[in-house]
Amino acid sequence: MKHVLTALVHNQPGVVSRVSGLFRRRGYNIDSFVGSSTEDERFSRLTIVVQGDDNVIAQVISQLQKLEDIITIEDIDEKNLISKVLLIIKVKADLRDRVGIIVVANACNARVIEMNSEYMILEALDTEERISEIIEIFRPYGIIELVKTGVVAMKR
Amino acid sequence: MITGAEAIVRCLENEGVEVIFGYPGATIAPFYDKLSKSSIRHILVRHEQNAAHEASGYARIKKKPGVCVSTSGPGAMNLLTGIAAAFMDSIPMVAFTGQVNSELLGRDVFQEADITGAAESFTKYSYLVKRAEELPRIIKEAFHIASTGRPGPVLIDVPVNVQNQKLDFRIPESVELRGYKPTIKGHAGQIKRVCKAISAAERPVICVGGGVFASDCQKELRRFVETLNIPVVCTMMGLGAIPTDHPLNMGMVGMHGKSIANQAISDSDLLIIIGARVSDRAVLLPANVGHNTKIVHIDIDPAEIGKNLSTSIPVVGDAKEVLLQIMDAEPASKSRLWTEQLQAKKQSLVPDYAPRKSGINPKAFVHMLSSSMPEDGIYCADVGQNQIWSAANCEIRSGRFLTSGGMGTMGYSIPAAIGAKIAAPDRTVVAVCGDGAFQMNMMELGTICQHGVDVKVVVMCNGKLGLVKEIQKKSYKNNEIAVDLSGSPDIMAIAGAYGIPSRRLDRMDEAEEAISEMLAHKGPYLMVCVVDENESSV
Repeated sequence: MKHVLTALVHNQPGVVSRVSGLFRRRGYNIDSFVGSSTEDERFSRLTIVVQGDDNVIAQVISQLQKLEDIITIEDIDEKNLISKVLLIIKVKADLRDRVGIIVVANACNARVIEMNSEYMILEALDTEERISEIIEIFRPYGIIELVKTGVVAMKR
Repeated sequence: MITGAEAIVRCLENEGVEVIFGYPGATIAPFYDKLSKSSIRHILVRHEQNAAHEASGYARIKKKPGVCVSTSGPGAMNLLTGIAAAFMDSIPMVAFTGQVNSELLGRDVFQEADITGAAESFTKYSYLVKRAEELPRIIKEAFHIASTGRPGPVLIDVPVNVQNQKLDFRIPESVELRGYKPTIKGHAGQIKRVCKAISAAERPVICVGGGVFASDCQKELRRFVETLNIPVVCTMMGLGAIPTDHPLNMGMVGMHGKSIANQAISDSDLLIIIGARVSDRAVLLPANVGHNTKIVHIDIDPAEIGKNLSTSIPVVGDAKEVLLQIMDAEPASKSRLWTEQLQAKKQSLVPDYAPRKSGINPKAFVHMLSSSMPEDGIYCADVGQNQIWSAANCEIRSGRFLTSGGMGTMGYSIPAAIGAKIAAPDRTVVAVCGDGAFQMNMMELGTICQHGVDVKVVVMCNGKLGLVKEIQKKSYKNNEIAVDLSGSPDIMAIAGAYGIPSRRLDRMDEAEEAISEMLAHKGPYLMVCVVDENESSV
């Protein structure tokens, strides 16, 4: 089962290394790991999506709580979760495909951010499931490259 | 304005540090220069790994963090094994390593090593000091982290230029660590549940580990056990928490423990674990711990509860505090019949102390040695067959049994004994090791001589790496490889080279006299015991 953990940590070099090192050492499965600064420059926020059953997640949280750099950590429940993933995708697009791609993009709330005679670059911001769907929607056109962030999440 | 090096010395003095164990080098030279003006005693070791082991032995007896120091690169890397051993056994320790100039970091310069990266898995926390003015805060935090909650090693890596930087020296009033607040008192609701469980249990057992010593609660534990008349077992780290000859003490559990102790656990209906993490050596098959056994786990580290054994009643807190809380609630126990049954079984067990055809009987020897030591004597065991003989046959009354339990680091016994003796100069300290481990740490005989440390060393010589040989015999059809120690030196000659008196013992009927002579001698003494290579560990 997937769990979305959100942690408030000290904004200091080495913290990400310590946290990810703990995952490596204890053998927990990370689906995604996102970290960035917050409104308070002393602290950063980490959003970690972990695979595991309840026992494993309880251990993950206990072990993380032991780290001095971690101030709070929470496992956000599905129904209280707001989570988003950002996708940037470069799709093959010759002149004939262009209009079709733009229509499809509008239909799934993706924005065109770059366009030339060979490809288009689109961006989409949505839940993880929708982003996976969007990738499949554009696959028939030919995906040249894509990059996406991990999950960022917040409790309602 | 003073330099970073001077600041480190002053902070150590402020923390009440009296002894440090170390080995100098280029990148730690500024610190050593300032150390020479301090009243802190420096023990020069002969290999950095032993600086950490000595700090470990010292910390376990003195009940304060042990401090070890090394230079950068290879010096720091050598410390790592000792730090990892301390981490596994939750020993409070602060390790200082020199580091290359911070402006050269990352360029693979001479004796550069990423020790903070390497030590990450083996330290409770680590610091790479960027500016000298951080040192007072960092050192205060380090000692706090090392000695509170579940104790453990903390590493401070100090670049040589930072040691030379000037700072306005001020020791912070207090430590502010937002992410670190260990729980000391047990939750009142959980305490109630524990009391109810005790009152309802017919076959309760208490299992104690190293946490009892970390919490310094042997007295409270004894009162708890005796008031409720509940049988006690222990892990290797918990040996000595209750005197070994106490009528309620059923012995050590686990792979190499006493069968009556293991049986007590599997037959119990209530298992109260206090300050133990029940690793794979203590409980081989956690799923098999009595299906009808309710498990209470009292530990200061919430992550240990439920890690290896699924727990019915977790209690996070300091062992001493929680025991006092439970006893305050005055639970009753109705386990008298069960206790008597176990005691009867225990009486019926006959130890294997018969003399041997060749060599001594190591089990009988350990028993005789530990019984002849003063009540509060400190027995330092190494790793291997000798550790198993020691753990199974040592008589501990009010003394201590020190060994490398979690990491099982060979060579621990002699440096741990050195640290313990320096921490408690008035107590008898004996180190017992095999001939394999002796050759891993014999260079510390130099430390013993230089600093006049009165430890007694017993080397059990069977010419083999005994425990590995036993494994090869049991699981690899007796295919012996790489366990033969031929080419080993004459250990008595080695002792003689260091000016340490020694004697050889190869028959049990001379053992009593030999042990007396060794314990009565003023100053270091080494005894070589001849043990047959086919002697088994259990």
